[in-house]
Amino acid sequence: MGLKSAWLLVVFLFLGVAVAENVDKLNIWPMPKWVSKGHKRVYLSPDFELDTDGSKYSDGSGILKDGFTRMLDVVKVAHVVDGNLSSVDKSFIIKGIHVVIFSPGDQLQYGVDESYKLLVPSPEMPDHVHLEAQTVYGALHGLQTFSQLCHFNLRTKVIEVPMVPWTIIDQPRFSYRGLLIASGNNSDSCSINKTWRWDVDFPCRRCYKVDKKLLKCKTPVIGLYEFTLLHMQNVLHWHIVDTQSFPLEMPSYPKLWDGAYSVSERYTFSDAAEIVRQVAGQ
Amino acid sequence: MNESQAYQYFVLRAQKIALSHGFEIVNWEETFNDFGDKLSRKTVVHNWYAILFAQLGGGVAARVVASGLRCIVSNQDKWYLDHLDTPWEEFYTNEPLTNITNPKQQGLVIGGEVCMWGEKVDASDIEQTIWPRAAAAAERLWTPYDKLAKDPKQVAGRLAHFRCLLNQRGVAAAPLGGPGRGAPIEPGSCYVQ
Repeated sequence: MGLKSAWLLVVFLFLGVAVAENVDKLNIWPMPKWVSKGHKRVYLSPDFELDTDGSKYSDGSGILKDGFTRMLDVVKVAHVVDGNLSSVDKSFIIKGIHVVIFSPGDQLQYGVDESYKLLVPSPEMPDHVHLEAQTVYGALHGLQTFSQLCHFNLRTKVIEVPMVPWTIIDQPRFSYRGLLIASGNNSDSCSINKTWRWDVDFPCRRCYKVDKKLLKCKTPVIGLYEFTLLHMQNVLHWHIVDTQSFPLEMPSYPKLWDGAYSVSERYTFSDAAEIVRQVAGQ
Repeated sequence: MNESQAYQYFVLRAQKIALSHGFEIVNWEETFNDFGDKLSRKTVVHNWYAILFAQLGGGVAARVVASGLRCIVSNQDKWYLDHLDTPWEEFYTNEPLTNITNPKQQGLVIGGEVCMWGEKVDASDIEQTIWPRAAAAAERLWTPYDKLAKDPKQVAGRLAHFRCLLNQRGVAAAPLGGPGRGAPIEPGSCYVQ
């Protein structure tokens, strides 16, 4: 007994710590319901594509396509992806993501099914990722999780997915996960930083560049909400009026928005409708 | 009709109008505290006082679900982003089902919300005031209870990694150390701030 057992105990304790730390290195936020991973590595093709064969959802409003484009944008944003995959064995190159959605509708309401299943790579189609979900909104969560599995390899200069095969089965614990933004308590001017800039025509919107062209303009409210999706929140509670100001145009009570801080710090009815429309599409 | 009667009249009438248009109705907890038995049974009560009974006369979430109504949790002592002195660890460990053990009543807590009130921010610093603390609460609301860390130290490394990812993706998420929207503690890797 004695010394030998004590050493064994020390070894086991050490292993315990090492394993716990390893689990911690699963750098996904928030932690999915169920995750398993492997030890291999695959690479994303520069023409990584969206494939929806077999999906019951037709994406008439472009929610899935926009989500896919956003996912690719954020995966590529930090580096110039100019590595060459020609020397890589083709069986390690992932050409696209196969998204299967079972519900044809895209009506967004409380209690919508947000579950998804993500397999990297797909067992049936090994040159694709497989993502399935009951609704397009579950698929958007799956895309966000996938974006966190992707890394830019600084040596090869390509996007890779380490630790494949991944199997992730996920759904939220609570159905209401909100962020309140109170623009009514404070003036709502536009912010400016390295990647965003003023758009003089729309002083309460801000715009960013995609592929060197100015393509997208958003109000700060939408810009903020876009990123709540990275950690899977699903409600934007826009606290637009309070005792301090009433900046919203109400066609039925046209004098109400005279309660705004100034004539310029206001939202038209159409501004507000557009914000609701865009947020719903995310 | 006195002031509090007028308040009750206004709320109950607004509830009826909203319901007639097919909307879900959510009320801040004052309506429940003042005339909870008069509210529509479809009301969702949005908590904002402290979650524990001992503090600030709170504990309303447990009372709301015991009365059969649904509840959203936003207790100000843990989930108000304008409280700059509330660190991410407290956002992470705030449990919406505190003091609610009956499974049926647990099911009436539909979730929670972190609140970025306007008093302490404007467009110049709203992002770093929201993130990464909102993300800490988001895991509490998304991840199964059994997989949540009992000690937030266990997830600090993973959250730091996510914070750096947000920075790479153009979100001005603040360092984890210190209070809300704090500065880096010293020169060093993003992953240790």
